[in-house]
Amino acid sequence: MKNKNNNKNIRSRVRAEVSRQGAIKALSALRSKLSPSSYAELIASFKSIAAIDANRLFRLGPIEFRRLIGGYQPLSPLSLRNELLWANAWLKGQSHKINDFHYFSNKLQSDLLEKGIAKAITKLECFCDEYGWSVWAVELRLAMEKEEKGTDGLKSLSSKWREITPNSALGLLIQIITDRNDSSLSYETFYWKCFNSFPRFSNHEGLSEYLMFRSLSYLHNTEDDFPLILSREITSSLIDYYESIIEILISISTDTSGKLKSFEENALNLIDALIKDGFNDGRLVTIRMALTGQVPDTISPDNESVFLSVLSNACVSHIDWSEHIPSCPVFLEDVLKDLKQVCEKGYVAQKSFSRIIKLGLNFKSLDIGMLIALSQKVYTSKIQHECLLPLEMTFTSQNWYSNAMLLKDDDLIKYIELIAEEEKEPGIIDVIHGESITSLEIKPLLLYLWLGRWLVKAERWKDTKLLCNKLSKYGYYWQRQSEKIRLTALVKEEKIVEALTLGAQWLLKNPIYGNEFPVENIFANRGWRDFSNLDLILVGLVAHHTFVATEISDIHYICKMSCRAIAMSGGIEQFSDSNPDKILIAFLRDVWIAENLVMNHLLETTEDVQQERMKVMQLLMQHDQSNEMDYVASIKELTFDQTIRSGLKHIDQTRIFVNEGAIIRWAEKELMKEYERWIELLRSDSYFSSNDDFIRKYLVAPQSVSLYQELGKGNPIEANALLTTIIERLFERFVMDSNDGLDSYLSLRIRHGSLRGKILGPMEENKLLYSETEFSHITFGEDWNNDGSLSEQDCKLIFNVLEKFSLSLQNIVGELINEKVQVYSDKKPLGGIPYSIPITKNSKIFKIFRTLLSEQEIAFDTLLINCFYIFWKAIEPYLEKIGEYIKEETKVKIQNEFDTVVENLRKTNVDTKRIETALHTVATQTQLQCDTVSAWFRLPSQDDSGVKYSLINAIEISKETTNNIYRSFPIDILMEEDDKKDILLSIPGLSVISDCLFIIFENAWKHSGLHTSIGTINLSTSFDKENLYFSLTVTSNLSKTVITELKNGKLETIRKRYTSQDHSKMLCKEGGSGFAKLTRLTRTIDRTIMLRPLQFEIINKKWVVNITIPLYEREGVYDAYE
Amino acid sequence: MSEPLVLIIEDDEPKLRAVKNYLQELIPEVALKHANSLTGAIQILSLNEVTFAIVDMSLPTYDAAKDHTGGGQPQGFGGMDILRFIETESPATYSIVLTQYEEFVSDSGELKDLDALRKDLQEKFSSSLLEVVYYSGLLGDWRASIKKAITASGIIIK
Repeated sequence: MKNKNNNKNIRSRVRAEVSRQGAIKALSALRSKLSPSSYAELIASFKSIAAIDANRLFRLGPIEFRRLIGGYQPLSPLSLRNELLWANAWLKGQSHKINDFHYFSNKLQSDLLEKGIAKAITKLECFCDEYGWSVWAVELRLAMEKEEKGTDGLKSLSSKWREITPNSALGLLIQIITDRNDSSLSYETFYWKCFNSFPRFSNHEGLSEYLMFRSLSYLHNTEDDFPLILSREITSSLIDYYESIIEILISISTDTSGKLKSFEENALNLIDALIKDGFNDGRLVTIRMALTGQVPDTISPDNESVFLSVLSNACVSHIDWSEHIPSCPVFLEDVLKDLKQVCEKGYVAQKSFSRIIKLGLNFKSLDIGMLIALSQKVYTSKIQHECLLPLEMTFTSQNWYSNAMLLKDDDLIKYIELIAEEEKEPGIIDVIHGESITSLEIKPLLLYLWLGRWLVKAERWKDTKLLCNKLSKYGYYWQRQSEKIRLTALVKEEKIVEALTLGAQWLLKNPIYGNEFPVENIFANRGWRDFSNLDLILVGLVAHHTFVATEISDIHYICKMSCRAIAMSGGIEQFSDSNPDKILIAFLRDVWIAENLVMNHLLETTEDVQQERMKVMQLLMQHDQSNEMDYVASIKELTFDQTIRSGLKHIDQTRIFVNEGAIIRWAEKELMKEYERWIELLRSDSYFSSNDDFIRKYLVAPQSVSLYQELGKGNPIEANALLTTIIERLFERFVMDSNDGLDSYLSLRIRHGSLRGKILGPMEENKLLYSETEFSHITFGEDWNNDGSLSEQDCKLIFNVLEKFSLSLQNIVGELINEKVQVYSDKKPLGGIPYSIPITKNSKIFKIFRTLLSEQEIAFDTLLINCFYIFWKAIEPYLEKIGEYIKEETKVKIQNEFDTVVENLRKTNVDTKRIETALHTVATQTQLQCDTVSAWFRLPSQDDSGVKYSLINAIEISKETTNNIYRSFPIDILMEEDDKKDILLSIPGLSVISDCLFIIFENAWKHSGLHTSIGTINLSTSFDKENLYFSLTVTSNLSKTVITELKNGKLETIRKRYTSQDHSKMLCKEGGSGFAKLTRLTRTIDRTIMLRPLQFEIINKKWVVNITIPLYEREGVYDAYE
Repeated sequence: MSEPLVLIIEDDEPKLRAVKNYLQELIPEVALKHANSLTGAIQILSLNEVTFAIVDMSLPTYDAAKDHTGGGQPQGFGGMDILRFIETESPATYSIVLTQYEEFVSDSGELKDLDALRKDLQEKFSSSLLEVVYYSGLLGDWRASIKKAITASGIIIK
């Protein structure tokens, strides 16, 4: 009776709320208010009272495309527990629709694989017309369009769809999925783009989380994020809602953090209810197994197409690529190649790896996508304790084999037994029960890898070794995987030397294996003392690469101590006479570097380390000629740096610094792909709607809009949006990099004690700072009342005044450190350093930047150097402002405190003359200290030392470099006296010109035919001030034989190769070294002004090279760019 | 038995002076040495029998006065390497960490406050680390904490 009344009550509340605020708002409000026990009645009432809206919500999706996500407002999210309970009620009675959908999706997949994409597209569109649209279908449709019609077709469809969904979450999602499919955007770049741009939508509740989930299947916080996603999908599409529920259940069942443990019971209840209600979804059974650990008695047979079945074997079960894959759909041909690459090489096949993840994500609506995404996990698994990502587990509806990866070690054995039975491998069961593996026939089945993992756990070393030996014979994949098991076993067996040797073997093949092999286990729970008596080269090498892969500082210490121990026992000189093996070469090349030599106190300065590195490079040039070019490049770089540094008369006093070299290394790794995409977009002139706020927000950060507008002069060109992102990312790194950025150095060199110490130092030294501690009271007595002239009362009075004064000063300095000398943010609104590039319209700096960027195909390093220049110039006024603030406001504030404290001391009527005198003296000192601190806030510049670079410096560097590389080259340069009065060069200008000269000198030395008798090399220069063209002419001697060879055709070949315009264009893109690099440097010379900017001649039996390169003036100093 | 030797590893001049002055007052009988870089500290620890070391967490790699780059790459966690070095290469040395940072970033990227750092370090360097002390030139508490730690250890002050 009570229940009946309650139901009646709910129904009347639904009726009232629906008429008051409309159906969806009423549903949202009531489900938030009512207890879970009322959910079923609420839904039933909603269905009967708001039948039209209910019918729409219970469709598989909206018929009108544009009504997808956002056609209806999202509901208010519930707690995750209540969402699970709500799903139970909401999905009741919907099994037939979802089962039909699954039947359709399997059929669609078969068509896609067997009849081709065009037919599958038609089928999908018919389905959507009849049953409605879903994000599931949108993702699949865009992925199929891309494979059928390429990126152009994809963009065309995307643009058509976005036109009917302007300024909406759906339009934005379409753009994002388009990017995910775009072949010019790597997975890594796309991933970064999502992480960087989605938080910009935080003012739309739950949108950022929803986009992250849809684009990357990523959730930051499962418990909080899932309700936000469900609340949006429930009013959009039943398909999407159901699929997301499956994702939640998977997340709960595979969670290893323990955070979702309390939801397991609800998840299990929901699964049981869905199965009971007729949902025919294999994933529910799998999730149940993962939740309960109960392995089913039998395994349902797979229900796949022939292609999918064979492919799934190749990807996640039997893994035998020799097997023929029948009638492969055209769009999967390249994928198969990529899969095979990753299978055989693991992480080393990085490009293939990235493409696999991307394609897997794009086709994740179907099992084929899941299979592809899952395969990389299987191929690069460390064969340890791991659970799959939720995304990938959804595939297990079709492939039970991967379930083994879901199981904890204790449950694994049951599953191995079950699979062994299915696979008819009874020998495995005997082995599990104690039989030796000797007589077991080992096959290339994933099952045997899981058995290997179990044998290690059971500490059956001999059997593990045998199994690994047998498996290794089946090819690269099996060899790699079984070596991982062997490594784990060796570590567990405490056979550390063998483990190190095995690890080194793989790291020598490619250091990236540090990410795939469980090498960190070698160092787990072991310290330096455990390794100090072993082969230090081996220890250092493995520790170094393991640290690079894992960033575990304890492992880095072991590497650094290995280097120290080698240094203490004779250093690298001990290797100079020997013929180094591969391990030693790799050690010297990769490990004997500045970062690892910091524990070696025999190297006392950066210069010492550079000298050490120079010796190593020279040694390696003799013994490892296959990498000679790399060593030459390193020697050039070291020589350049040493020459620059030796010119500095004193250390730059500014504390403002950015490690630009490190930022460049980061950019080469992280921004190169975006740069390449930018070049591609420049050629395509791709536009986007400038009125679409959602898309503009996704493409350009709000703080960068002015930069974007300046770059594009208002045109919504995608290339400019991307360039803005590149510059913004670089700036972010420049300012915020935790090790090498401006903020890091502000912290290390200013905020970390220095500023406080500098300003408060005189006060502390003169014993004027006190705090409310017992220690302070005692010290005060000792400092100012050691003769006992002050009464206890007087002491207390004076102490209180000084303590208050101390506190005020502490606050002033604290505000400066904690608020002002900070990067601006919501938390630091007074921060003096900008967090985005502060562009002022029509600023001089920006004009220079735009001029340089207008040069098509600007080289990447040139772009970086220009950006750094802009960044410093942009930051300069902000630094000055901080300096001024200290010089004016801080100084005044501090002086006021001094005046106040003296006044307050006088008010006590105690004789405090001694203290007052000290205060007066210290006040003056403190003002001077403030001036010193103020001077810290200026740009780092070589100008501080009065050093300007000139052509003479460039010659010195090129001479020094040539000598460091070719030690027997008796280089003698003669330069015309007039040429010495030359132009001033910036560091990039100096670098390019010295490199030009080095290339010419090197060539003269190597190919003159005269060896050490080459004689004097003549150098002359000229500078066209109007066009800013700088020319170098180098003349050197040749042997008679070489002259003959050159005249007999070699000279012509050289000219054809390096001076023809077509070739020059090609080299612009390709880069190049030696003469090819000279060709590249001349690429932007206007041929109407200088017809032949690079010339090779024989004049008076001498070899003459003439090159003209463009220079760029920047505040009286000239730049040159590669 | 040789004279007790205290090593102060600190690159910040005012802090170094404050610590030096305080230790001279507290334990005038000991010899004091100081290093202002990671390599400088390693050198002294390698060549001397250091009784205890006051260790700053953040240090330059090289002595800024000698190095043309102003100290080389800053070692944000250089103090950790010194503690590790003491533990393995100079086991008779005790240490006190004296830091001006209130927060630290761990290997995993997590932010840790001083208490969490203290707990971690004391667990890791249980045989040599006496205390982790927050330094503020203004507040006198660090002095009391250092005194307490040295007294409790019984190494120099009985």
